[in-house]
Amino acid sequence: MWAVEVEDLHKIYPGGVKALNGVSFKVSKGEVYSLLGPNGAGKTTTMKIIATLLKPTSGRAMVMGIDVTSNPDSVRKIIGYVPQDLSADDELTGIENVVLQARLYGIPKDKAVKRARELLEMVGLGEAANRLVKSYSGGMRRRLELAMGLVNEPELLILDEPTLGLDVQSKLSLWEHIERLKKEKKVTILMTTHYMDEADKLSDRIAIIDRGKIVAEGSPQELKAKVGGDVIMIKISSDPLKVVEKLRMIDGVRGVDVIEGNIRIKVNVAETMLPEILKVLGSVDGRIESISITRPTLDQVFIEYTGRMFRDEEPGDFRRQMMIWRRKR
Amino acid sequence: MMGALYTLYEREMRKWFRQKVQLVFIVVMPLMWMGLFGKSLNFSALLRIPDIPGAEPLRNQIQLLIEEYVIKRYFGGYDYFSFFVIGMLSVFILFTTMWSGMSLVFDRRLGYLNRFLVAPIPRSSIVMSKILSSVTRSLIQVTALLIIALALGLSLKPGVGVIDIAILYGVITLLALSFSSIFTAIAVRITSHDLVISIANLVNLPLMFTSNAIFPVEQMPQYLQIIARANPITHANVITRYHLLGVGDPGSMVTSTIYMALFATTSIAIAIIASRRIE
Repeated sequence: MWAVEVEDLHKIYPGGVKALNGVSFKVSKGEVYSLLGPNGAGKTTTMKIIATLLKPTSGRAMVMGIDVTSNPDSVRKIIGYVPQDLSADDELTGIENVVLQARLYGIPKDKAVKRARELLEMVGLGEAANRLVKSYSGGMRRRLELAMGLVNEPELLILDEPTLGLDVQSKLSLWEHIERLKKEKKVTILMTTHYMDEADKLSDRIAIIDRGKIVAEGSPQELKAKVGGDVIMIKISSDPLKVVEKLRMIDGVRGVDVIEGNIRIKVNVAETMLPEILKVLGSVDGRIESISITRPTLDQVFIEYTGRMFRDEEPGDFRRQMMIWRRKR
Repeated sequence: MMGALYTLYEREMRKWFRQKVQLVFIVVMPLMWMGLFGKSLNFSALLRIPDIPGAEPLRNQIQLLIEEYVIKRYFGGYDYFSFFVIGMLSVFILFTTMWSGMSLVFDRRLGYLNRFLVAPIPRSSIVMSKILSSVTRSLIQVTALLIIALALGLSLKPGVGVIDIAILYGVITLLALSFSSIFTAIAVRITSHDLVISIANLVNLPLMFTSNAIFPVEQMPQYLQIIARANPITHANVITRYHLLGVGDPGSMVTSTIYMALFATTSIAIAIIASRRIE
C-alpha cells in the first residue's frame, strides 16, 4: 500500500482557472516526497486536496489507501497538515495552541498537555511555551506549526512551503527538525517547496510540477543525472586533445570535450569516477594544474524539463503574509 | 462532537476574556444609548408641563390626563426611560451578535480555520462554537447592562422576582441564538471583513426601528406594524417588558414565546446546514 496515491488529479477553480491538469504520483511509506515547482504550478492545490480541504474536479487521491473525497474524516485522523499560510492563533500562547489542536483530535486534557509539552520541547520551544504567539519570530511560529501538525502522531505529514519567508538561520533550523522527524519518527512526509536547495536536501524523491502537471520525478540524484550528472573540469600542462580519446574510453564517462584549454568531462557521479580519470591522466605526459567539480543543480533540471528558467519569485500573497507577520512580531 | 465544540468554545471565550478592552466596550456603547439617548429622548420628561403660577390645579389636571392617556397608552407605564432600557436590551444583543460572523471571517483570513477544517471534527462544531460564545457574551453583557440601567434610574415593576429575571435570561438566550446563528451562517462563505461590516451596518438600525424597542408598535403605520411583528426583537420585548415592567398584554406571552422558539430553532438549523459549506 502507498502512503499517498494520486491519480490523474484535475482541479478547475470556479472562474475557470485550471490549477491541476492531470497530476499523478505515489509516495511510499516513510519517504520524504517533495513537489517542487514555481508559484502557481499547483503545489498548494494538490496539498489541499490531499489534506481534504478541497475537492478535486476529477481524479482521485488516497492516503494510506483511504479515499480523501469519499472518506475525509478517516483521512483527517491520520494526517498532520502544516499549511502555507500561518495558522497558529497569535492571541493564544504556544502551548495553548498545541493543546487546542490535540483536543480537536479527541485527546483528553491531561494527555494533551503532556503531549504538547513534549512536542514543544522537541521543536525547541519549551521555554517560549507560555508566551503569546504574537511575540514569536517567524521561525518560531513555523516550528510551533510543525508541532501542531504532529499532535495526532500522523502517519502522513503534509508540509506546504515549510520555510517560506524565513531567514537562512531559521530555515536551516527547520530543516534539521524535519530531518530528525524523518529519522526518529519514521513519518511519511509530503511537502511542497519552490526552493531548489530545500527539495534537494530533504527529499528522498522529488516531483517537478509545472502548470498543473508533473514533468519529472525521481530522487534528487536521478533527476540531476538525467540532466547530465557532474562535470569535472581539468587543466593539464600538456595538450589536452591528446588524452580526450583515452578519457572517452573510460566506462561511465558520458562525454568529453575541450573548452578553452580545459578538459570538460561529463560523468554521473564525480567522486567515483575521479580515481579512474586521474589514472588515465597519469599515464600521459604533463602535470595536472587544476581540477574542479561542478554539480548539476535542480535549477538545471527544471530548465531541462520545462524549457524555462526557474523563477524563484515570491508568491502572490507574499505581501499579505509579510504584513501579517510584521504585525505579529 | 461535544468535545470539539467545547474545545473551540473555550478558545473563543479565552480569547474574549483576554481582550480586557472589549469588556469595557460592551458597557460603554450601551451606556451612551441609555445615558445619553435614553435620558434625552425621555418622553415622560418631555411631556411634563412646567409649573404655571396661579393655575396649578388646571396644570396638574392636564398633566394627569397626559400621563394617563398619552404616556401610559403609548408606553404602558409612566416611565419612558424604563420602557426604553428594557426594549434596548434586545437591541444591544443584536449589536453584539451581528458580529458573530466576523470571527469566522478572521479565522479564515488568518489561516486558523484551515486548522479546524483538517481536524476530524464536525463542521457544525466550528459554527456552533461561534454561536454559543456569542450567546455567552450576550448574557454577560445583559447582566452588566441591567446593573448600569438600575443605577441610571431603571424602575422595575413592584415585586419583580427571580422567575421574571430567569425569563429575561431565557428570552435573551433565544434572541442571541437566533441572531448569532443567522450572522454566522451568512459568514460561512464570506472572505472579506468589509462585507461583514456592510451587512451589519445595513441591518442594525432598520432592525432596531422596525421593532418596539423605542416606539410602541401600536402607533406605527400599518406596513411598519407588519414588519415589526415579524421582528424577533419585538417579541423579545413583549415578554421582557411584561415580566420586568408589568406592562403589556399577558395574552401575548404564549404567541411571542412560540414565535421566538421557532425563530431560534430555524436559525440554528440554517447555521448547521450552512456549516457544511464552510471552506
